[in-house]
Amino acid sequence: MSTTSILLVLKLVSEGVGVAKEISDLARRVQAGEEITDAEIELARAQVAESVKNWDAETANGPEQ
Amino acid sequence: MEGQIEQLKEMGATLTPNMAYIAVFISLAIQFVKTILSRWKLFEEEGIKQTLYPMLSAGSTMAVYYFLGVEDWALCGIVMGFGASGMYVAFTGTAKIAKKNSTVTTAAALMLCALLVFGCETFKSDPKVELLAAQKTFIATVDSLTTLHRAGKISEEEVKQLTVLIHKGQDYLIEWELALKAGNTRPDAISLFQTVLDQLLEYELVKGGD
Repeated sequence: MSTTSILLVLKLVSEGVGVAKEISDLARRVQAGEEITDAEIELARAQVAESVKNWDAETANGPEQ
Repeated sequence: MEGQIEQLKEMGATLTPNMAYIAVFISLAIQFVKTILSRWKLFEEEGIKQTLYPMLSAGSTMAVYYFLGVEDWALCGIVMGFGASGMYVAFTGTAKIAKKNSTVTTAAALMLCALLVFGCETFKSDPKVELLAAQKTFIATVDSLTTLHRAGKISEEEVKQLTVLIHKGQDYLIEWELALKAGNTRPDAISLFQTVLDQLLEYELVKGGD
């Protein structure tokens, strides 16, 4: 496996681990009877917009070789 | 994984969402061990692979449950350990069928797929939590696809299809959120979003297997 492939794997796994932790925390909060606020949903919406913007910016220039 | 949960219920053991999440992490850890061991030819032999990794998965799950003080650690560890191992094999097989080649990156897609399944099942009782979990999963999926594009793993034709799916996914999430704020339910927006997310994850699974 090349260094580039290893870095790609690490990046993808860190995305997976990051979201796993966030969803695990959500499950814990639900179990503790905590409520989700509108502000959290709005923040997540802004993060969705940011991710989509990054995708658009990245793909506008074509793949890096 | 649902089969394993049913099996545990029949045996009188209780499985919590956190125990299920741990099994997903175990399958990821086993994949790393497998990648390291595959450097030695001995561990690439089919018979050894088919025996060693499921045993390692079950053993590690039992050990983690034991140290966490889970009451039914042995039973839950065996069932969830073999379940995690089988789930990994199933997803690797899908990637192999699609591309006849797969690597450790499949694990990232596997984790996202598993989270999607658990997220949907665990959070159905609270619409706000279900939406927030869907937003978080979508963000991770789009970010992973951006990384794959940056690594040159996605063709220009696929970029066009993915861009349509990503924008549709974002629109359905906004519709879902607006309906929730208005006190309505939009099962169509939720169902359409989940279809889009499934397609994006499928892309990631195939591309991650390259």
